[in-house]
Amino acid sequence: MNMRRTGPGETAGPSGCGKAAGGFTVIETLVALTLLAAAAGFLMAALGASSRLVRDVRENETAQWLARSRLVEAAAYPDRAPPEDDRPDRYEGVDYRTRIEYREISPLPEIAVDDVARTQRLTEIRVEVSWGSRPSTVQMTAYRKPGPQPGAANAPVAAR
Amino acid sequence: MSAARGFTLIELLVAISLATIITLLGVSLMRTSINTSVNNEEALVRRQALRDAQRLIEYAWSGRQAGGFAAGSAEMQFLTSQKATGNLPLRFVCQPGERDDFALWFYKVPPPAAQPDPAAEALAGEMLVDGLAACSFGYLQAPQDDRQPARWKDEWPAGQAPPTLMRLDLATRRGALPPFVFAVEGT
Repeated sequence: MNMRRTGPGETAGPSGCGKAAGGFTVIETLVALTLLAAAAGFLMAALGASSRLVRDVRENETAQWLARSRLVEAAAYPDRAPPEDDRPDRYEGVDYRTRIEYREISPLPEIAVDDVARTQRLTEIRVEVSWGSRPSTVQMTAYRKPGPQPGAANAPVAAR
Repeated sequence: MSAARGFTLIELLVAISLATIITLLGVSLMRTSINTSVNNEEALVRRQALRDAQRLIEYAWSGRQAGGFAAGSAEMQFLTSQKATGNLPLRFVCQPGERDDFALWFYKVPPPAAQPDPAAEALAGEMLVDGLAACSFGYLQAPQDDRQPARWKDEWPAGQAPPTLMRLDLATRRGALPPFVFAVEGT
């Protein structure tokens, strides 16, 4: 490090009030280093955030794929519901838990197209997939007419 | 001490070694970031290919017809009523690749008369996804009675009515993917 020595009463500065060739003072060097470190820190933070975002998007899509597959399966064969979430499924190094709920509902009067629809009950099938330590979730819902319809899969109507 | 004083040898050595360490750190950081970027790019491209393949199979399978169905764990052939695919039987194949991996291929099978040599069929193929660590099909056997619930099978006996649900199990180098389950529309 090439620093200029300053006497007790002398002020330091690059303008060179002394006779020796002016270098940087300790303060200047420290300020420059701090600025550099701060810039590097911001860069690393941005990089970290970007890779976390990429990972989040990938996991979210995987969860949607899983939810969709479970929903198609559950809508076609409600009796073939997988066991409740004792063991998570591991996909690409991440654990996903699936919960499937069946519920009997009556369609809302305002969306029922006729009297038959108004009296008919529907089965709501709701699939919820959650993953991560601070759990993120994906939900998908499908509606199924009651009665024996082997393999009658209704397309998922809502996803959020 | 003379007025024009240069660096001592020690100072110079310290400065050079510091510069070397910093350069090495910079190079390794650069290499890591290039690797990450290449991997991410590959993963993105593969994901997009997966999405496209899933959409294609979903579309074709939703109109699956009763006749012309043939299936195993590594390949599957069926006729579909979806117009955009033409009136040819469609074939999806999990094909071993060159580097101990698998690729998912899609063929439109030409009618027997217009099939003079096997090369023609290979030319008509389209690779949907490559670089897969695993690739297989599964078929859901409907429940026959109360005692025997529905279950997934690797093979489908010829002559039996085709299944309603079909699944595609894939894995990448990162690990297994969730199964893609496809249903026939309105059966």
